[in-house]
Amino acid sequence: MPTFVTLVVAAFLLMTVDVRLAGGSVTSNIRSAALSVLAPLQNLAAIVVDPVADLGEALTGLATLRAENQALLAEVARLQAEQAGAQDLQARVEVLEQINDLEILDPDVAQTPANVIGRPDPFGPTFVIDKGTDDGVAVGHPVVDPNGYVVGKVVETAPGFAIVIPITQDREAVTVLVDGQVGSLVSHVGSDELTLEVFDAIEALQAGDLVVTSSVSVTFPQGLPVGEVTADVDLEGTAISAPVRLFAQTDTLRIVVVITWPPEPGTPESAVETTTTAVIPGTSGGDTTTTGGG
Amino acid sequence: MRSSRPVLITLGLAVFGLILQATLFRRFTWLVPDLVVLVVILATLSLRAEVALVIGFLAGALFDVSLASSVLGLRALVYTVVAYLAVRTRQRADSGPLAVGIWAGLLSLVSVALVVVVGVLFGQSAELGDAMLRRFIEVPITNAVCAALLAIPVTRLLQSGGRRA
Repeated sequence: MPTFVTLVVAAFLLMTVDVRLAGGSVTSNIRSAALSVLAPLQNLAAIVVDPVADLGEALTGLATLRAENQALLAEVARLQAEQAGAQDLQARVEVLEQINDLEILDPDVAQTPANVIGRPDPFGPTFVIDKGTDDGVAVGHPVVDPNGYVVGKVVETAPGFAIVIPITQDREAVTVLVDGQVGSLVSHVGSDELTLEVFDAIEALQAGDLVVTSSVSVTFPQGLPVGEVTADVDLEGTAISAPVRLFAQTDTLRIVVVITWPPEPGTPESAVETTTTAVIPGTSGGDTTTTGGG
Repeated sequence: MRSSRPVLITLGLAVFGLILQATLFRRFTWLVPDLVVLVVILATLSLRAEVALVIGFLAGALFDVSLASSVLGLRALVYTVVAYLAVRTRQRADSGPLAVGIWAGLLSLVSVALVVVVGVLFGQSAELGDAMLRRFIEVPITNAVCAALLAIPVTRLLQSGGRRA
């Protein structure tokens, strides 16, 4: 019994210290050290486990392969038609970018592809990737999926590994642009839904409106696709609150890309950010925090 | 001097469980055990009460530090309490694999409930998410099945580790 009480008290002390320090350097160092030990083992296990799991998934999926193949052929035909239209749109976007002197994401911004190697809690939000401080990954760096869709940001790093939290579970809101209006994308921790809040709205939003990161976002470079509005929403005075579906499938990610952002001071990218930040009117100048802590 | 080999084996099993959970079981959304708490529960069948409690604390702390989103000490507390309950009720698991499965399943349910309750008290609102109901159902059931299958091998491993030392 004394052992039990001692351990319970120790656990409560740990929790209190962690909450009071709010992820301070002591607990951060402990987590980082543990990650340095555990992540190589996870990486090794992933190398062994992934091919076996892939084989298992392939075997269980054999029965549905024929129907899936036909559906994919139809999808290919549809996408080819869409691609033709998209090429035309891309050409128009490039012209518009040149006219407005905008760059969505500078190709010189460092991008680090990484494998998702672990998700310690199957119901938890965070996952581990196999790139860390040795590869230039730092806390706060934005993370996108292979299609360029926003996933989240790095919250913990170790020399060869890092932990990423998706924006659907992050307490910090993301400043986004939708239909020419700047708003905040707010997560509901514990849910995969996002809510777009626009306080200086000038027009209603339609289902399907594209949500991209804004140039005033501190955490993300501008122009990254985040998701789409899922319902038609009318103005309520000058405010709008709309549900948003994230493009990235954060539960099934195998590969992500970490973007070195903000770029190092003095590089051409930082000059781009400074220039474009001044262009968007009616904004407060950065990501907003909806709740404390975290 | 008492042997420390079973303790090291148990901690090794907890690390192995954590890694397996983070790699293999993340690929199977329909199979979601909590292998760390399972190791803690099964270890109480072979270890002294005080040692089992310390194992629960250390295994929980290990799980906590591997989750950047979790408050440090949450699972250390919960797994210590689960280890305590397991020690107090372990005689109920003596009548065979089925009994072990039910016993471990119930303790896993307590573990899930405590993680949610204590987590929410310490600001871990993510514990109340969409997956909460799934967590309450799937983790205990999967752990019950795993416990029924693994109880004998784990117990033998820990007992043989103790004898060899």
